[in-house]
Amino acid sequence: MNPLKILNNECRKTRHLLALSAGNDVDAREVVGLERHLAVCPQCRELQQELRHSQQILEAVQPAGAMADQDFTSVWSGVSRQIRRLEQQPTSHDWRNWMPTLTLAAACLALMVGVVMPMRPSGGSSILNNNNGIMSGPLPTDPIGEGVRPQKQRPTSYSYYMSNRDF
Amino acid sequence: MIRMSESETRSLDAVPPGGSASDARLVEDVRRGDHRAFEALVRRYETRLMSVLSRFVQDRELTRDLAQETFLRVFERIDQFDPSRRFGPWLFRIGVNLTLDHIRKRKRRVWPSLFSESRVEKGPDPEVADPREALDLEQEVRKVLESIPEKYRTVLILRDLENFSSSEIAAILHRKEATIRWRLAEARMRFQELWKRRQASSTTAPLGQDADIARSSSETEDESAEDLE
Ligand SMILES: [Zn+2]
Repeated sequence: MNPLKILNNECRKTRHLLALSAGNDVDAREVVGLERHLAVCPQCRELQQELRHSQQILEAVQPAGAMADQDFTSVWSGVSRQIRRLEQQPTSHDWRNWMPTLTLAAACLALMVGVVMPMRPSGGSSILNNNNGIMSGPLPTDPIGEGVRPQKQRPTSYSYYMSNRDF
Repeated sequence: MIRMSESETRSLDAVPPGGSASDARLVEDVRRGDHRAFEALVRRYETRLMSVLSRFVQDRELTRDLAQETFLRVFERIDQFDPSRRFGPWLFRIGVNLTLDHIRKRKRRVWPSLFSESRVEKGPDPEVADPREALDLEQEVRKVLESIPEKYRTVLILRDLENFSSSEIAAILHRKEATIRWRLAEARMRFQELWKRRQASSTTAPLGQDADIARSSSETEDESAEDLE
């Protein structure tokens, strides 16, 4: 294998570590590996110097505490004002909170209308006027046309179960 | 890590103002409708937050507005906060994202303000031999930073200018620490390369050109290598 190629691969790996080490962001194990490579690689040694220099530049422009603490006046008054404004619009929030429920209700209503209206007898007597109640006419989902009377559902509650339980 | 970052002293988990109550406790109180608890959190974090945001935007008023907006969003989303996590990174994530969004929208080319207006207003620092020289250096650095892609620049700013630790940056940017380290190394290398070119050409070549060179040389490489996320 070409030793130069091995070195290039090593250099490539070393570049990132060199950049990290410029800001002391490497651990002891990484330092050992770096030093081993730097001992045999003049290119990486040169890069190390350049990275150290640019890191110094970068850190030199860093003003101690960028914008000094005293430069700031608290934002709390502005924040609290906005919070109050936010809390003064409960109606819009309530309205938005109810939207899914209202949408569902509207959809159910539309479905019912869609289901009931086509079954309206042409003779004019309204299902609604039928003494048997709204659900007493034949349902469109009832293919045999027997009509589905509202059947008394057997209560399934625990109390019913307990009251009818054969002890 | 060898570097003992200043984050020890300027930690994300700042303690008072706001008494000795923990962040988690204050958050709990805010959720119960206690505005005073929220005020304590604001006062606890506002200085640090504005310091960080001021690195990204040049305008001091804009920094304040963004900080205010950040706190408002935090208040609105306080129920979404996972109390098993640290409050600081969550707050800074919202703030940094808000700021980056703002910058993207405005497409401003006034990238990171390494010096605040207030500092300029303050006049010459007696400890600096020639204040103009220092200002020039800051402007030079700022121009170089402007030409580094956002994802690298953000990490560079948070680490080298704001002294957050890699793990803190990982928490703020919601990335793995290995990704942050990769981006940090890449950012420093790009900065070094651009700085070297800029110095060599003595500002004769437009920086944008340098940036393009730097970007084209390693962008493909990074994208594949950065699949650590
Ligand atoms: Zn090498």
